[in-house]
Amino acid sequence: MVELNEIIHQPMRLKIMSALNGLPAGEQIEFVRLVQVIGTTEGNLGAHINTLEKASYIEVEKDFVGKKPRTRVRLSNDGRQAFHNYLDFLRGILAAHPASDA
Amino acid sequence: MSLTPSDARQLLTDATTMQRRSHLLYRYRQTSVYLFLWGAIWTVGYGISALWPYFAHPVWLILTDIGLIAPLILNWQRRFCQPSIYLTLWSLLWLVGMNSSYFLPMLAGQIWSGVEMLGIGGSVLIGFVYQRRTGIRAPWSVILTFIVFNLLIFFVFGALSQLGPHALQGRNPAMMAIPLIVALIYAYLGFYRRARRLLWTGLVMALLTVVGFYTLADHFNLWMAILGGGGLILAGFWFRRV
Repeated sequence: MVELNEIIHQPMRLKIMSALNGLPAGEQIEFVRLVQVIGTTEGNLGAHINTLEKASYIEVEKDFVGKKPRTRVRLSNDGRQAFHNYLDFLRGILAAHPASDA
Repeated sequence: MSLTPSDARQLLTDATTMQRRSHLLYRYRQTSVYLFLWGAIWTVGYGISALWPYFAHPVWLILTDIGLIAPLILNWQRRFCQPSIYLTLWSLLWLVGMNSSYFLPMLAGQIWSGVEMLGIGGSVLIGFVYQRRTGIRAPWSVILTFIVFNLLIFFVFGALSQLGPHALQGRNPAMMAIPLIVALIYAYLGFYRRARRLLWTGLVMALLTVVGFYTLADHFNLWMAILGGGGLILAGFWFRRV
């Protein structure tokens, strides 16, 4: 039985994981663009990115383009697996209650 | 923590919506690179066809080579998207077909028949090998799109070559056929992937091409250079602003 993943089960982190899972495997997205995709503030996103990075669900790469700092984020293999397990957990709940699956 | 089926359904819906949104925005950004590239190619190619028609044929060959090779190099260096084995296969076959039929025009029919057969056979073979090795269903809709697009161009050009290049009162229908097919493919992809901007870009480009061809016989190339090429470049900026 798969258990509820408390790290992913938070609205903003679920959005981040979903957005990253929507990209092809290994593809990075710039932090500022992720802010736009998700529709949040940089401060809020940064805090949740740290949490996901500590859990090894995402990989963060920082470099410079000219003199401008750039942060890029990608979903790790562990992160993709954890996200799919989380979705399976949700589908499992629906499968266990077919009567309410309207 | 316990979740109700209603909560679970809502979370699944939210996750799917965000995945689709992210994927669509990624595709727009990816497509914008092609629009910039082909917008520049149309501007230069049609511009030269309008101003120096004598050089049009070799210039179009060089520009098309650039248009086919540049995305392949960028893709395989993972500069802006993941490499696609199907795009690579068809681009290489087109390179061979375009260049060899330019230098061996008498064999163009056989060359393009060979290109189509190799492309179709190769795409289907790669699809089956991919399925067998990974256990994942091959992207048959993508494979089919490539095949239909290529067959469409093959048969339209076959028909046009029977008509001759100056069948329509001095106008070369081939100059309209390719941009029209490309525009309709954009529209189809936009409709199929629910990408409205791509759908509109395709429809507007198709309309501009047809209107220009039938109303501006003498200035069609200039029309396509400015409005066609310029339109693609503008669409590229529009896509990046999503």
